[in-house]
Amino acid sequence: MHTIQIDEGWCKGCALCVIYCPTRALQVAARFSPRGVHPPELVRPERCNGCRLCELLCPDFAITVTEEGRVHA
Amino acid sequence: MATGLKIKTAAELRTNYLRREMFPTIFCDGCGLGNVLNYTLWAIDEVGLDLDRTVFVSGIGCSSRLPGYINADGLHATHGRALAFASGIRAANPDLTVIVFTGDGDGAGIGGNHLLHTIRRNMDVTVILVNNFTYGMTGGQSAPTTPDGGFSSTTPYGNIEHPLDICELAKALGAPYVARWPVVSPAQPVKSIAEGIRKRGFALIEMLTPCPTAYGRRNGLKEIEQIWRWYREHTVLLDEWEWVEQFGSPEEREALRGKLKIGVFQDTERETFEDRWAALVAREKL
Ligand SMILES: Cc1ncc(C[n+]2csc(CCOP(=O)(O)OP(=O)(O)O)c2C)c(N)n1
Ligand code: SF4
Ligand code: SF4
Ligand code: SF4
Ligand SMILES: [Mg+2]
Repeated sequence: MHTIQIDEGWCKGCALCVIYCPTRALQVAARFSPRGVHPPELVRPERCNGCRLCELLCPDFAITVTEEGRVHA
Repeated sequence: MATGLKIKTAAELRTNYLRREMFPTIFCDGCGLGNVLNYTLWAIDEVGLDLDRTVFVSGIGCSSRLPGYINADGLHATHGRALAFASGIRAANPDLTVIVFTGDGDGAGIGGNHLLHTIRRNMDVTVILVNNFTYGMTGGQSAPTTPDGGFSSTTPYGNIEHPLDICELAKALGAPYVARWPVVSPAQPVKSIAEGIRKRGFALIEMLTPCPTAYGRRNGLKEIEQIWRWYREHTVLLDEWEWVEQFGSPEEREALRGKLKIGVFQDTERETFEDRWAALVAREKL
């Protein structure tokens, strides 16, 4: 299982990660971040294959994909 | 992802290379300039560059803001003059790696003459030229690269000038490495920037970069998804382009009009300014 970490101080809510996620695992959140934008959220974690395209395409270094096992190990 | 690329995370890139206090960037939503920065950092990490021995140089423009985000020495020079400053650094201290960020206006408009002569001399610098078809920072005037018919604040009835093909120019001048990629897919730009840094002599990587604010807005490409899609739909790989030109049907050839060729256009060796300077010093016992 993978998880994504969003730095909400850096995310501009451009939604490029959501648009280009090949498995449509992400969605634009309804809530606002402290910067006043809608950040992405991993709504279908079971679909995320860890390809990390979202991370590579984010213009703002705001999204990091991690393997859950590693984070909690 | 290209084979052989080491996995890096955005979190690692941020910690290792960025001036975190400068973030978030000044760039608009949907601007591709952050991607140019991201891919450059991947390439730098790939090559294993020592940032303490690397200097980033730029002129003026949105694209020329890029060195300010990297935790290394940099020069934010005057408009159009990035290559003159870069040449000076290389000539004075050939041990330094010099990477230039410039725009289509900065590098090919006002700085076009420096581009010619820096390539002609074959200075050993890597130039990442961001082509967004416009002068973004000053609100969207036409640039030498504005497409045929493109709307800008100075071409309200559509551009009537023939756009400059920067890569063709660099090729003709004998630049050892010339490539063009859109920012919309990461792997090829990362590989090309790394190749450009490793190349002895002048390397030009032209990055086709969406500017929804100053260019897109006037050309029916205001929405982020739409302008990013435009770059996927209007770029054709060199091999495919040549195949269509040679064997394609008239309709297929017609479909190339208004599109941009992408790929590595030149990858050769040529004596550099430094090589010739060292030979001169030895010959004349200077
Ligand atoms: C000598 C001089 N002339 C004009 C300007 C105004 N100016 C600032 S940025 C710019 C255009 C930059 O265009 P480009 O290099 O394409 O950068 P972009 O903002 O599109 O990334 C101009 C004309 C200036 N700063 N200095
Ligand atoms: S691509 Fe980056 S900045 Fe844009 S919404 Fe996703 S995480 Fe935020
Ligand atoms: S890692 Fe790949 S599959 Fe997972 S959210 Fe990012 S783009 Fe989608
Ligand atoms: S004006 Fe254009 S080039 Fe400048 S930051 Fe905005 S989108 Fe990017
Ligand atoms: Mg420009």
